[in-house]
Amino acid sequence: MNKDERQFEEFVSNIKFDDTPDHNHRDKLEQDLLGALARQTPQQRKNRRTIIKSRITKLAAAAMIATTVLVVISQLGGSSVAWADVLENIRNSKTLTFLIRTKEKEPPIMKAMVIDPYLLRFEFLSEQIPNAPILGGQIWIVDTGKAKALILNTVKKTCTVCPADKEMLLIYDTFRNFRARVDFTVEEIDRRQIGDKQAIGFKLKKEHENHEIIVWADLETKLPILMEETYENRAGQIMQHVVTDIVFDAELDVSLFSLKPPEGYRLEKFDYDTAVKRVMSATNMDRILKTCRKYVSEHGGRWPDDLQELAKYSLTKDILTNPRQPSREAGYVYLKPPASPLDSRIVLYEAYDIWNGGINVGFANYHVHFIKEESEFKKRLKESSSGK
Amino acid sequence: MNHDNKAANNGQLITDAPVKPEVFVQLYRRYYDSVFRYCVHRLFERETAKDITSEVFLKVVENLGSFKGNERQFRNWLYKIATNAVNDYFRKTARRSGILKAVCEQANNRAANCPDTRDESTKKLALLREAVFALKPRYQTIITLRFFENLKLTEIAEVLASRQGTVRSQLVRALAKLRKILATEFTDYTD
Repeated sequence: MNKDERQFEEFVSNIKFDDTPDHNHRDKLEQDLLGALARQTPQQRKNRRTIIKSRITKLAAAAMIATTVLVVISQLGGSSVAWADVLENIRNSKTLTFLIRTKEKEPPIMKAMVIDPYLLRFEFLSEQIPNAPILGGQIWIVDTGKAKALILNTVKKTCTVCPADKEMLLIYDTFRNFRARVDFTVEEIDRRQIGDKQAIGFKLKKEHENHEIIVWADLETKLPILMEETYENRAGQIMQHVVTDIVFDAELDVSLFSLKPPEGYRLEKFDYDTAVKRVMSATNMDRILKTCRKYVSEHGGRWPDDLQELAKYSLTKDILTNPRQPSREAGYVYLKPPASPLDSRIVLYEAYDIWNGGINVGFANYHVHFIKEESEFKKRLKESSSGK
Repeated sequence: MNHDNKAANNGQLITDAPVKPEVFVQLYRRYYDSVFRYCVHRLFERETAKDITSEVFLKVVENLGSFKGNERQFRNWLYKIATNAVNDYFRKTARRSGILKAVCEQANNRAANCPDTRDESTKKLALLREAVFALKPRYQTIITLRFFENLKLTEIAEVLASRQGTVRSQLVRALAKLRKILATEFTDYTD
């Protein structure tokens, strides 16, 4: 302990703080907390963990996290005045729009819109969403104030109303209030020209995790104009998203955030747990088919004899397990097609004993679709076998 | 914060708390006083400290299921949440300087009009508040954690997700600034 420390310690040692805890407050808060804990049912907790771990919402979360990183480390960073200025400007904005891309020059896969203080809209623009093609064509509208979300399927013209995912709320809360995400460190890195703007870069990094975000802020406006996020997904793949076209205080029509099902859309009942697992399974199948494509390109157009042949491509056991039926050893049925298969030929489908509302089916064009009717599935399976 | 429970030390309390209310209560009671005191020491004010303490534990309930770590990390996590909540409070009220001014003036007036033996302590408290509030929030956090919560530099570094060396140098800067302010008022606080 140096002189300053000793002196200060001595100075404060005689100061009397009125810091005796108030036991009435403690007891009342205890009751409130138990109430809050009781409202968090085990099922809700389970769902939350599933959501966070799933690659689909990982993407959505990545998009939203990309938003939130605009604001993290406000208290912790302190590395430069410029970063503080950037944060201050973000705080002062009332609306925000941006695009998410896999690479800077690639077409956008998602458009996001935010209205302070509680409305979010995410439009999944492309079917080529990494690891989550099923999200293509979907629109998520989230009212964090009401803790509700409307999910629109613009292709099938169906919609569902469901509880807003807690992770969304948490991320949004972070975005506005700088509270939850304190586990990043920030450092100023570089300057570069982006379009006609000179930008300064800040690297945000999560310790002990392969997770890094670089924020490029306009030196003139002190607002972010580009963000690059890199992280490792559950399968150990390094994923990257780029946030571009960031606009603060854009004029946004509130009707875009309505939770009322739009005209022409059929409202479907939403079974959260089932839906999540179905999407997770489709995501696994998408990964398997992409691995097949790699195999095919390396083997002169020949498909693998079985899925075990794909092991050397780091196709792990959990990818081959169907989350809808985790106890089943072989989660998916693989049908090896001829060297030049028809695009519509079925090559992969979820193993099942009893038809229960539909299954995910993978085709030789490397796409995955959900088929609801067993008769349709059997018809297509028959056609695939006969080579039609 | 006490570390007198073996079960708590191995993290069992923390693991069980999200699903067992009686365990959660045990954990809550173990840390309530520390969080409250930390808030009082940051805010120099009891009522707001109560509100912030409530906010901290509500956030704990929301996120306890996803917390992974031992008891020491849990304690640091609480300080981290509390630090953010206090800083957020300062920012959101946007009246920090106004509050400070009003509180300090009130305290100084009280000290000036109080002839009994407590006046020196009251005056010191008012000056301390003024001096601490003149620091950046990060420095305030470091000073509070170091001198009122008695955390080691390594622990403060963990709370702030920073390096020990960085915290050390920031502590030195914060103390230098405090000395400058306090030395003008107290002859026993000299260069």
